Amino acid sequence: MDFSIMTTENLLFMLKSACLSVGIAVVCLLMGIVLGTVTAAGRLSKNGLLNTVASVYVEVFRGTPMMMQITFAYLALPALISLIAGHPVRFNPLVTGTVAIGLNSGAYSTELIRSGILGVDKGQWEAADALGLSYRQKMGKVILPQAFKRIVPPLVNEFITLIKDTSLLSSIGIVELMKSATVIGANYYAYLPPLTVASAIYLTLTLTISHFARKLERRLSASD
Amino acid sequence: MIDLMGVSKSFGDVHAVRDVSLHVEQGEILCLIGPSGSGKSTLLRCINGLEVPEAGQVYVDGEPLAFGNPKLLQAQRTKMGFVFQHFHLFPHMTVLGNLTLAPVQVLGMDPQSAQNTALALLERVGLSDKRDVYPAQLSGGQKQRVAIARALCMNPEVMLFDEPTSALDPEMVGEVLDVMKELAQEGMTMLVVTHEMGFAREVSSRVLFLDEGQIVEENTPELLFSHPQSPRLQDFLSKVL
Ligand SMILES: Nc1ncnc2c1ncn2[C@@H]1O[C@H](COP(=O)(O)OP(=O)(O)O)[C@@H](O)[C@H]1O
Ligand SMILES: [Mg+2]
Repeated sequence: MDFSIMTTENLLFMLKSACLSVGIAVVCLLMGIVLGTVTAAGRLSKNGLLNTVASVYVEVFRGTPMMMQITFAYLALPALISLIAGHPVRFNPLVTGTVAIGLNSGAYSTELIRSGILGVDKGQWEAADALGLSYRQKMGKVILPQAFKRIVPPLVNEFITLIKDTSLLSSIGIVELMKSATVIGANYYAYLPPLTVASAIYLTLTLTISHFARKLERRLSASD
Repeated sequence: MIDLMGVSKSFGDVHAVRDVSLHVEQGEILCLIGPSGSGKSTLLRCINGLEVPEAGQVYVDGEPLAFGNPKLLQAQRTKMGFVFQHFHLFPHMTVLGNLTLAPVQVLGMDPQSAQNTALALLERVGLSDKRDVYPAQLSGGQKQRVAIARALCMNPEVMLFDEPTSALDPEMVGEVLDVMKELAQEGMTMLVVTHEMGFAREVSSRVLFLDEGQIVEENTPELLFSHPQSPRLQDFLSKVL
């Protein structure tokens, strides 16, 4: 096995691409948390319309492959919009791909956040009510701080999933870690070295994050 | 001070409370007794609006509970302290945090005077040394005393207790009942769901016997315990006394 093609230049190229992967994952995670919080509030509300809209969003994004969502957003959506606008429209692949994954992550985060909130003991809601706290005060001071502890560990797992999922963006030409490996492989007609290195980088990233996640989890549960 | 007019509440086809009317004067100490599932908790929870009755009305100081108006309902709830069987202290706050949260947030007290009130109440329930401790580090009896102090911090007009000693180890029942007896002596209006017949006999001004969601019998403790009229109460007392 000839790893000599992994020159410093090529390695740097892959590391830069790895940074892009992580960067996209961070943006998608944050997007997902914001969207997920809003949608979770919708799913928890008694308003039928909000509830339905939120449910449909969650079901659509969890019920179709992420690869389909990315491809749809990049190839099908511009065609649809061109038709409506009456002139050709092209989407920026990086923005489109990131938004697609962010929307997908939002659907999963919705359920994480919702179940984190619903997991807080019913007695806590009642104690807050009995003391005369308003809905905002109850959520802000009593429920969310307790839900937070339950939400953070699965969100870290979501982050790990997102780092791996960004590899799908290679299909729409974004040079993230996965794509950087196949580019080098194609240049040298040798795929084994770059794909091995890329896998090692993915593994290092995910193992490091789950290591810190376990530490964090221990700290969060310490105060119980 | 508290009036119930024809209050009913059911869960599916379980009629937990059926057409109950009740008048509670200021300073009265009412004990609610009855078999498990007779609707005691549901009745108490209807009084502070934790359950919404499907029929009838609850009046607090002559005002109907404002279920359609969250702001007013919150204000009405601050007049009533509620003590749960399982305490429901906030686990992420210290004892002092538990006591000062609602006075600061709901009553708009400044944190310093809320803390002073809280410390005075902690002293009263004998837990001054626990002010900076988290609930997880307290025994059951201590948790319940903190929960009582938390409710008292709102300076309520009436205290509602739902089996406050039922979740406690036997050796801790006394310390909680002592706090409640002291409250009673100070003239607090109290509604107490309890299985502690000794407490009911000693402290209450009136005892209500509930069965199948209805007040079957009510009387002074002396008469109710020594001359139960209805067969259902006789049967119940023969089992618990
Ligand atoms: N949230 C609820 N959902 C369904 N059934 C309930 C609920 N709360 C109480 N019940 C039912 O209502 C009846 C009265 O319950 P409860 O008021 O808790 O009785 P008690 O406090 O006297 O034991 C019981 O049959 C109980 O199963
Ligand atoms: Mg009960």
